[in-house]
Amino acid sequence: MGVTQSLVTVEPVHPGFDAAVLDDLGRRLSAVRLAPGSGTAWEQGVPRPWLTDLLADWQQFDTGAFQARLGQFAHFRAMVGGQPIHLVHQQGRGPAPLPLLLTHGWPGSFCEYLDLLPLLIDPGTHGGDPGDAFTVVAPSLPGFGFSGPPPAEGLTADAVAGLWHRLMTEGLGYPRYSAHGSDLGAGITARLARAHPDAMAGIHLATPGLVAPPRPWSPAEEAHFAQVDAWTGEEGGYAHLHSTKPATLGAALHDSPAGLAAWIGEKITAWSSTTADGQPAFPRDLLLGTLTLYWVTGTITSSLLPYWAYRHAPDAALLPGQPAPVPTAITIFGGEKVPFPKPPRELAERYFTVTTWAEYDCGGHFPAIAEPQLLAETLRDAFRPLRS
Amino acid sequence: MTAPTPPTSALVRPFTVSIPDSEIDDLKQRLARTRWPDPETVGDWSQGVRVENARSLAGYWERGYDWRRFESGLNRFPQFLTEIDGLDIHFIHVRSNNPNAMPLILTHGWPGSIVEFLKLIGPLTDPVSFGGDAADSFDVVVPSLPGFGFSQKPTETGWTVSRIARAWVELMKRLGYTRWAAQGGDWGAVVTTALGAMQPEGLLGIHLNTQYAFPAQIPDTLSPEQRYAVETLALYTGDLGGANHLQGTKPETVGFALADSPAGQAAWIYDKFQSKTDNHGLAEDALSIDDMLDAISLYWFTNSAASSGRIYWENKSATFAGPKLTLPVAVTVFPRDIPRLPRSWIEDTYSNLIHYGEADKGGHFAALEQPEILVSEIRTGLRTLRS
Repeated sequence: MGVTQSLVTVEPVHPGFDAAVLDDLGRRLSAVRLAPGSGTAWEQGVPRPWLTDLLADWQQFDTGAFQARLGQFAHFRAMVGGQPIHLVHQQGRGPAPLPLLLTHGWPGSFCEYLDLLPLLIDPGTHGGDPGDAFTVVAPSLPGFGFSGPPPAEGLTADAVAGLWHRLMTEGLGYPRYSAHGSDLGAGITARLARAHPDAMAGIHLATPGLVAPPRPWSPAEEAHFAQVDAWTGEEGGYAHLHSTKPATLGAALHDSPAGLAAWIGEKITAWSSTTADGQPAFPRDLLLGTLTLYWVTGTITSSLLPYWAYRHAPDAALLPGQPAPVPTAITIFGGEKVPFPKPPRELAERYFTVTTWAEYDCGGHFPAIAEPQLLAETLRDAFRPLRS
Repeated sequence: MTAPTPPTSALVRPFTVSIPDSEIDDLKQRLARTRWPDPETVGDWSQGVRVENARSLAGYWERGYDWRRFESGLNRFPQFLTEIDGLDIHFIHVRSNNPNAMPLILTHGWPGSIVEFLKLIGPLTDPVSFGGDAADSFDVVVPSLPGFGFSQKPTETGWTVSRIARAWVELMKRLGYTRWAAQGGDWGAVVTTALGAMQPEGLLGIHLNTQYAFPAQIPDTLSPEQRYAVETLALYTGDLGGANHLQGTKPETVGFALADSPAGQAAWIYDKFQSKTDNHGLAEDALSIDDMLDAISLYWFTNSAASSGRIYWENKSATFAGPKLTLPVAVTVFPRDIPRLPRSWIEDTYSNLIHYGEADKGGHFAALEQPEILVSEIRTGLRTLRS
């Protein structure tokens, strides 16, 4: 590794959507050929009437307003060991803001955090205590959104955690920081705690996925892994494909906005909790913004690669038995349309030094979107004792 | 192929394939506009179809491939539609000139189609013209599975292999056949196995080039051939099983992508040709590009990615431990099939095994890869059923 590759640089950027790509997207959306469809239920995947409505809304989507919303945040482009990384970086407003790294998952993006960010940065004007302020870093995973393509050597959670740590320390100058993650982001956050316990004030994980440890299992663990098996069988086909044939699937999803909308829309709908009026807690505009982000940046295929890397890299799984000493708060959110298996506390304790454990029947798989206030309070509470 | 067109009843209507020029133009325009991902991050096929290979295939599809060549070739065979159990079933029906010909229904799988059998029809119906014996003549019936090709797409659930098998019984009855045999590979073999388990009156026996003959419980001690079978079967829960897993659970979701992107549809099927034919590193070693694109074009023009994928959803309980069969069964094992079954388990499953053949080449797409071997095996395998 040469000297230049070890440099970490961070420069402000104003990411936007390429107008020519948006025009082409509009043309494609007006010429979609739909499959005939098999009804209105979700039991075979996305129902045609639902997709038809979504595509009609996408054609009407105000991409300018969405870009203006993104433009309200401070964006940067970092180079870490030759890997380009896009990030939102907002200074906290308080006496001693604690740096907090937020890591999204699939099919998410940094946009998951748009509603959460003000609550974290500036608690004083959002019903909180300025002493709970965070300085927030919300990067786009390599191969996602405005970040560059992933490194050829793969995209394991360990590799991303390594990039994140250099970004936080060498790039942004935060020798001690906290981190939160969900979905793929929870796995990356967990590895940060393993690899850099001295730098981590603490971590918070939302509904982490944990591999089965060696037996014996507690009754709750037995029940959990039975649920995992059933969920994997019925709901895990997407991950099976991502981890084995990302290029084959990507050929279709990269070429068809309808295909992309079906693939991502099904998961966001299934994994979201539900609002009081029965709608997915993931707002329509944010779904359309997410689809546009994946489409315009051309990153759907590269976004599948973390699954492939996990399957193909030796030692990719987080192993139990040696919990990092980093204080770990875990929140189990619930209420997804299609429920995720929820790990019991004793399983998490095989992996983490669990200091706080909470379970809610709301929030779903995207708690930053569904319950930003609850998540902000959870993060404030979790990290308040760890600030010194 | 000089046989007269079979008589049709009110229930059986002649059918000719005729894709409008506008749909061919639309396909070519879509292919020309294909948005390709960046190349895979590996130097091999471990992430699926390589972008370079997919581009090459799609480029030929756009600029070199001639659908009308295939269409006119297909239309040289008499084709029909007939409504069975509420669905129009498309089929090719070619009678032999030999009045003693044995009626044979050949069933394709996924991502198979009637395309697979086109090269078999001449040698089976008219063996003498293809260096065979007149005594080995067959009348051939080649249906498209419900939701596949030019058969109608089910709009309700419940089209299990048993229901398809019952429809095939009705089809053969409707064509006036009272003594007949059945053949299939992949899902076609599942349907044919269901026919075998059903033992409808008139079914003399079956030939399978995919055998659903694993024991319900895999024993602890395995012979090398049995171990190989278990290892190849495991590919379906691993590297080769993603598409099946998805189509077994969310066939609609991926179907919308494949319906809108011919490049995606091509890659989806090409992946299977790449991974399941007897090739030396490239599907093109085993299959001609035109053959592959005939199959892919049929899926594209009939917009049947989603409706065909549903066969996995409808038959989630199907396993490679099929029912034990007591009727006469002939099998041919192709060396590069996945899984490849050992003779021991085949003998355990088919108590009346009238023929066991091992081909010296060929993979999962036996009819498309090795039509001559399959023809020879069908003739030999079913010969003892002729009276």
